[in-house]
Amino acid sequence: MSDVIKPTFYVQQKDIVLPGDLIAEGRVDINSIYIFKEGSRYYSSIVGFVEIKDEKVFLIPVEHAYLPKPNDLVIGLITDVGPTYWTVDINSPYEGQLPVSETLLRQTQATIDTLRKFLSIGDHVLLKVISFDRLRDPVLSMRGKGLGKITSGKVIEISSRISNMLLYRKRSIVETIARETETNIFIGNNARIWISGKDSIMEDLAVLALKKVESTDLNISTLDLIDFIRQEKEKRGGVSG
Amino acid sequence: MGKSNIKLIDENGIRIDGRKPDQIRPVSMSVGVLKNAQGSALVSFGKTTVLAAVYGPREALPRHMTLPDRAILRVRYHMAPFSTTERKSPAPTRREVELSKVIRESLEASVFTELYPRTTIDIFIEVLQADGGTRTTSLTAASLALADAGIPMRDLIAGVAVGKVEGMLVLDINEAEDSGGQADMPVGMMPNLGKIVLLQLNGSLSREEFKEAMKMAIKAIKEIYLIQKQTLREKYAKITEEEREVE
Repeated sequence: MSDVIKPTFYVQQKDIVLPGDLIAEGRVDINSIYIFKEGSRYYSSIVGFVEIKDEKVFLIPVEHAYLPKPNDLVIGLITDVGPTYWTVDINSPYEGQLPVSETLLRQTQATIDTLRKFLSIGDHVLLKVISFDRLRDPVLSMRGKGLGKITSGKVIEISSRISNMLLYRKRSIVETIARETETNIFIGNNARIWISGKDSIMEDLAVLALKKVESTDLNISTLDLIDFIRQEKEKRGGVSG
Repeated sequence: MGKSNIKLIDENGIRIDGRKPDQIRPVSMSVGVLKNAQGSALVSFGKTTVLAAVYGPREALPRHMTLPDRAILRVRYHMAPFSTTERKSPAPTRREVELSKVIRESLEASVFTELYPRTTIDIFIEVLQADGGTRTTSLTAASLALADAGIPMRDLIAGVAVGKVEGMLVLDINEAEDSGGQADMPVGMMPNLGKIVLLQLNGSLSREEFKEAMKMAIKAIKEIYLIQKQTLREKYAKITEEEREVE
């Protein structure tokens, strides 16, 4: 312990940091691409919240561009059909590619017509990221449980921070909405949400509830949320819950 | 530079708009003013008002403009036709093209472009009202908008201009002082890292005057920097409080 310089932290748990803010000095375990080093000092490069766990520093950005990671589940939108692949918009600076070999379509029958029939422009798809290395566009896959074309329900886009919070921290909000509206809610890593339910009224209700959560900045209690959903439900003709 | 009969500084050392020589104009800033942009900021220094919007990182079109190892920055500095007393043609002038380049190069020093190879970050700067110091105001606004958009950067950039009017160094000069003065020196800086990213000089200053002017600029920039940080913090302060409650 004596030969290791004890790190000094200039921030506390859950502090908000801005670009250029000093976070720590000395030897610190950094676990974020948004922290950079100048000499022996670590600075933040983004607006975010600091988290310190066992002398490890994490930085949760408030707003950020989605960078694909292998094994992420993303909701994509087909934007183009190529000769052997589809181009997929995944709400990121980079466009995804879905090759025929990563779908259930047999490669021997792949012509542009069969490709178009299988997935056409404007279709939403649930996919997995298999590789992304910054030099090449992310490669996506449709092989896997639950992956494939989204044929029912609705897909909405929300802010990346709210989406991450719902995905990792505030599962209870999502579960509450899903229970109250009897829908299935899937949150992709790329800040897109897929809602599917019995009928479109319930789906709309879930969308409304999620928008409410977003507009209040997660500042809503579960009870208030349930009240809100029930009120809206009554307005729409009181589908019994 | 014709001698006008208006005195820019009176015998008590008070400037034409009632400021002391080392006083900046009232600064106001707000972020997230545009919903469609990823990040935006509205900054005003006295009457000078600038709106900045950031889009990206996003795919660059045309493709051949992209770089394999980093993102490109595209900056458009533009003055609205109604920003000046006489209508300004909306077509980009030589001056605007040059200022776009100068601001872009300053921002490139702070943004971590290598995190987003093959993409572009578009920054649109619109001068809504011009009363001197538009380039430093634009730089301040653009930097705030970038931070609001969540683009990683080394530090926020703040800028201010120092001028020489009637043989006296004055801070944050306005239009009247700019056209009637002997020198104008805009300075842009990353205050936390102590790095200068923009330095221009129009007119002439002696060596001592230059040193003194830099000192004045750095002092003012630190003030502006604090306002920048406070503006960003205010936007997210609500979130922090609520997250603390959860803990």
